[in-house]
Parts: sequence; structure tokens; C-alpha cells
Amino acid sequence: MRKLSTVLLIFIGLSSYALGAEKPQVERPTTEQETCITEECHTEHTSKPVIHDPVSEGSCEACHETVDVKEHTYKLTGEEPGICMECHDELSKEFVHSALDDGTCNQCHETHSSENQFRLLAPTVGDMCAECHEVAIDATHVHGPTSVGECTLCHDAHESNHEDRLVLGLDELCVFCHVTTKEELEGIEFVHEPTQDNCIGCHDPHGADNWKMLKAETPEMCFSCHEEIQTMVQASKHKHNAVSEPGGCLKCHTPHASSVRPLLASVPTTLCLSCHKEPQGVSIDEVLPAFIDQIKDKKYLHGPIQENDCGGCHLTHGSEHFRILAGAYPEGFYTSFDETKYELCFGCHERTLVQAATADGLTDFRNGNQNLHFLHVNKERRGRTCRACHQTHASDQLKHIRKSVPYGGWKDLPINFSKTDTGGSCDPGCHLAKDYDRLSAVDYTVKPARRKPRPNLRARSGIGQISSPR
Amino acid sequence: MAAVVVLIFSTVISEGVSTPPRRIPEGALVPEFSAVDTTGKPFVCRRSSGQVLILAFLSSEKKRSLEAVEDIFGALSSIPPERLTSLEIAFIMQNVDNRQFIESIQEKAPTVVHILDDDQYDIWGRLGVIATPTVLICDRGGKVLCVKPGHAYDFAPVVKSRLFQALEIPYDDGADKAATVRTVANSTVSARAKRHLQMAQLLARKDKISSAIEQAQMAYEIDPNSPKVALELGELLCRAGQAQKAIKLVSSVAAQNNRDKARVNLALGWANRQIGKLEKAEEFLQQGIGQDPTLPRLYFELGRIYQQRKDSEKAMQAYFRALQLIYQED
Repeated sequence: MRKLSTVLLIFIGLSSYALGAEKPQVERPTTEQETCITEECHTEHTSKPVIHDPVSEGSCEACHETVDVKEHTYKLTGEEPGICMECHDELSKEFVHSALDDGTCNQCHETHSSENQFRLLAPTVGDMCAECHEVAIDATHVHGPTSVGECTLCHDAHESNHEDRLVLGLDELCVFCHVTTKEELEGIEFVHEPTQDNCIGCHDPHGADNWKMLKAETPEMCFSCHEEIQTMVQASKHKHNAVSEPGGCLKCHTPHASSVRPLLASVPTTLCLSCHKEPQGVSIDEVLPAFIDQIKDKKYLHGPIQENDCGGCHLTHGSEHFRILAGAYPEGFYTSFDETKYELCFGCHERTLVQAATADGLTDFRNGNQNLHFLHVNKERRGRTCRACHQTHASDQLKHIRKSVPYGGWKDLPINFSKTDTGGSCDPGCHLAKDYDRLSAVDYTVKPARRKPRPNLRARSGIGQISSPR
Repeated sequence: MAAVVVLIFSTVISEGVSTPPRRIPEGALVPEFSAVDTTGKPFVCRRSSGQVLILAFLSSEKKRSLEAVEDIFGALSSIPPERLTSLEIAFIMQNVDNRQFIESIQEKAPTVVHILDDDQYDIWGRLGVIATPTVLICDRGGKVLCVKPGHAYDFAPVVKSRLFQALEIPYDDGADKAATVRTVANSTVSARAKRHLQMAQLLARKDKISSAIEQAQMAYEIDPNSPKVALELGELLCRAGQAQKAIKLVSSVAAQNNRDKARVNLALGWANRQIGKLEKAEEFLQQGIGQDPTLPRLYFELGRIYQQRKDSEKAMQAYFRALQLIYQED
């Protein structure tokens, strides 16, 4: 019998423990009490460190009212979220958190007490938001506030007058932390349109797998708006490889603002030379020599080069013309004249230069008023192209006149140009020596005396004489 | 049909220089000439006119000329209207038959612009122009300040700065600076440090002190030489009760001005109070007040020291001063 009683007691004890009734049951009071939270009752509401103020003050009546004191039944004084708004500010702004739309504050907050700040259900704001919102926490480039779970730095948890419940308008929000960007933008004339008020046009504000949290890599990111450039880059006959490479656009352009159009990151020649100081492969069959060698230490630079404006002649995104030129330009030494072949040069220089047989103020290259540009270029057969006499980028002679020009197998066909105050002379491999004079025209009907041959360095160095093209 | 233009030249540019460059150089005197514009009004280019002169050689058929016109008008529109009367502007062209272009100029021009038909390239030749657009800007004495050929990346800023120079209007971007390229450099050490610091301040405002310290710490790691960053971190450490760390950090701050020196003393006073060194703390705080008497926290911390010493009257005075400063009441 004694044994049985012992077993029964143990069984009752274990059952009580299993059913969570390890504490002795307290009888529910059937009269009004000063507070509901006592040493015996409702202690779970104050057991955690962050306690709702009315709870900590024992003012349960702030939210609960008696239904039947004898039955110890109580109810809330109102429905959510109205009951909360009795004390907390009412929601009056345009954009309200959808959780509140549904009317339940306790989707995010513990009512009575919590281990977490703001009595959140999750340890941090970030964790709480992640319960419903997919954020870029796993991205390789995460925004600072996202990475530390501080969503409320940018978003108001409850309501806002800005879309996505941002705490400020997009034009103010990003620059609130990115102060340097704001300060610098104020002093720079040309600002990329999205930078002015829409950083999220290019950046994912939470994070992304691309550098700088870009929504896509460049150039694809840039192409999403600049379709015309995309077409030029991808469909052009002659492509500029640098543009289509990853990060291409940003090799030359700065994404936010620049003191010069079109948002260049530096002076154009500096940008171009950042690659073209070295030989560059155009294709597997062709390597461009280092451009720097063409201009280094030269006395006279072609206007666009002098103005640091490579884009004056080259379309940097791609072109239908060789060497990504901005217009048509003959590739050879000779061509039958057609003004459409010189579209590039006529972008700055007057067509009249090679269209008018006579000229005065238009050019200094004339004999009397005979326009010698016209004479050389404007021919049905074997018209000389500009490159026959002029060095495109730079030269040590005035007017960018070449010292020599490649002609067929002859790499250095001499030009022997010299200039006077009123004209000049040439003694090229192309024709007999000729003078020209603007004030006192030379009579070309008189056959010039053959000049004494100049010393030929090629002959002296043992290279065989090559026949002249004349 | 373009009006007939009479061009009378009275000066030759070059004076016996051997093989001179064709184009008129900067610093030379502009050749004097007179002409009649396409509306029949006279235009006189005279060195002694006291007017600033813009001569723009343009082609109505070339895109770059059109862009140049826009930039010239942009520069003109930034000039105070009363100064526009000090300007004489001539657009010199060969193809004035392009009515659309001419009318667009007349419509958009913020001031009087003479359009000269130079179909025989006379003005072109005298100034040695070889390409369009080419813009010359001359000062009131007829000296050529700027010859800008082409429409390069720096056309707009250079034209604007030279124009302001000629009109003697103060301008931030001097002519030398105008051609330099400035961009947003928000990847610099300073910019990154400022971002983290700003975030730290935001977090601190939300009482998220440990997160704020993390951000300020990042800023400090990026830019350990910035007194601003170190002081912000120091004060946050004080707020978190990490007195020893705060003392170690701010003791090494190289404060440059009185405000920063006062903040160093504030952090040292604050931290020393936390570790019970009240005399030392008071000394730091008094030094700080001497350096910058407008920091409320200095008085607040002083008040706490007096309170700990049970000197209620002095404590009240210090707290009151702190509140006065916070609410900016004297």
C-alpha cells in the first residue's frame, strides 16, 4: 500500500511537471485588483527587459477592461490598431506600412514585453523586416544600413509622405549620408540626370552583386537608358573595344557629375592616352602603335589635339569609318575627288578650300590667288588626299606638313617643304621643285631649273634607291 | 537673300614677323574693320570702342557651330543684363542663306548679335581663321584674350571664364581653371569616412549606440587622421560608458582649432568622470569651456560632477547653462 502511494505521488508529480503546472495554481481573483501583475500573477508580462510602459506601471486598464470580474474575464478596450493609437500618434501620412493597414501592430511588436528594442518580435530591425521583406543581405555589395540591419535609417517603420515610406525624399535621402557627393555636386555644372534626384535609377539601395551596388554592370547599366549609344557601340562597323569591355563607359565618363560635357572623367587626351600610350590591339590582325609617339615633343599639333579634343575627329563609341573617325576620310594617298570623301575634314574646315580654284583669305596655300589645295586635291584621277602632305596629329613643321610620306613601298617619300613670309616651296618626290607666292605669283609655265639632288640618307645607309612616283 | 556687306579693313595683323602663324595669337590687338550686318546695321570692330568684343566664326551647316552658338548664348545668359550693353558680338559666316539658322540665332540671342556675311573670306583671312567654329574674345582695349577653335570639351567653360574676365566680372573658375575637369570624387578616403560618420550620427540619434560606434569605428579606420572622426567616436564611446577606450582615443587627436580642442577636453572630462576621477574631469571640462564656451555637453558633464559632490547649487547652475545653450537662450 505504501509502495502504491509512493508511485501515485511520483506519477502525479511527473504529470503536473509535464503539463507545465510546476507552479502551484493560484486562484483567480473574483474582485477588482489594484493591478494584474503581482508576484503570483501574469509575471510573464514583465519578465523581459523591454516592457511596454503601461505594463511596467501596472496600468493594465490602459488597454484592458473588465467583462466580468467574478469570472475574471477581461477584453481589450478597442481593436488594433485603434487601441494603440489611443496613446501612440495616429497614422496620418500618405504611405502606411501594410502591416498596419491590416490593423495589427503585433505583427512586429510584442504587446507586453520583449527581449528586443522597441519590443520587436525579432532581435534587430533588420531581422524583423526580413521576416516579410526580401532584402539583399546575401549580395556581394551591400549598402551599409542594410548590412547592419538598420532599415529604419532610410525607411520609416510606420508611415511616411514619401514612397516606400522613405524618411526623406529621394533627392535628400541619399545625400544625407553621402555628404561629399552633395557638396561636390553643388560646384559642378554638368550633373547626370539620375544623380539629381534618383540615385536608385542606377544603384540598388539595399545591395547588389555588382560593384557600387549597381543594378547591372557597365556598360549594360548605362545602355539601359542610352540606347542610341548601345546601338553605336554594338552595330558600328568599326568598334572601340574599350567601350564594350566590362566597366567600359566608366573608363572615360564619370557617373555623377563633371565640370565638362559629356560627364568626362578627365581631359579627353588624358583619357585616350591612358590606353593609347601603349600599342593597342584593334583586332587579332592589327595593332595600333602607341599614339603618344606621334605627338611627343612635336612642335605643331593639329587643332583638335592642341585642344585636347580627340573626339573632334574620332567617334569614341564606334563608327562606320576606319579608325572610328567621325566622318568619311580617304584611306589612301590618291583618290578621285568627291567632297563626300572628306566629310571628316569638312566638319571643321571649309569645303571651299578644295572647291574653289581661286581664293584669297580662305587659305595661305596659294600662288597669287590660285588655290593650291584645289590644285592638289580636286582631281578626277589621282587627287591627293590630305595625308599626302599633312601629318594628321602632329608635326615639327608649320601647317602640320610632313617631312615625308609613305608611298607604296617607299616609306619615306620626301616633301622638303619650306615656308616664307608670303609663300613657300616644296621639293617632293612627287614633282619637280615648286615655289608659291601669294603676293607675287610664280609663273609655272616657265620650266624650273632642276635642283641639285639633296643628300639621300637612305642611299648613304645602303638602302637601294626606289623609283619616284612622278 | 543675305544683305550685301561692305567690309573695310584698316589694319593688318602681322607686322614683319618671320613665318608668322596664320591665326591671330592671344595677346595681339584685333584688326580694326567695319562691316554691315545682314539686317543693314553697321558693325564696327574698333580697339578703342571700350566694348568687349566677341567674334565667332561659324558655319550654319556644321553641328559643332550650332553647339558653339548654344554655349555662347549660355555664357551670355549668365551675365548680368546691365553688363550685356558692354558687349559687341558678331557672328561671321559664309552661308547666311540658311534662314532657319539665322532666325534661330536672332530668336535665342540674349542681346544684339550682328551676323556678317563673309562670303569672300576677308575677315576670315585677316584673323587667320582656318576652321569653324572659332571664337575670339577681346577686352575693352582690343587685345585678344582668347582664341578658341573647335568645340572641344572645355569650350563652354573657357568661353564663359574669358568673357567674365573681359567684362571684369568676378568668376570662381578663372581662365586657367576653366579647362580643368572636376568630377564628384565620392570614393575618396574623406568621402567614405564622412559616409560612415554620418551614419554613426544617425544611429546615435536613434540611441543605437553600439551600431553607431561600429560605424564611427569604420570611419576612423578609413581616416585615422581626421579629428572630427576621432572625436565623434570618442564621444560615442563615452555615451557607451567605455571610458578607458575614449581616453586612449582622444588623447591622440591632433586638434587644430578651439572647437576641436574643446571637444577633446569634453571627451576626456566625460570619461574621467565615468571612472571617478572627478578633479581631473573638472579640469578638462573647465579647459574645454575656455576653448569653446558654446558646447552644452561641457556644462552638463560639469553639472554631473557637482551633483556627485553633492554641490546642488553649482550643479543646477551648470545644468541651467547647458539648457540655455541647447535652447539658445541667453
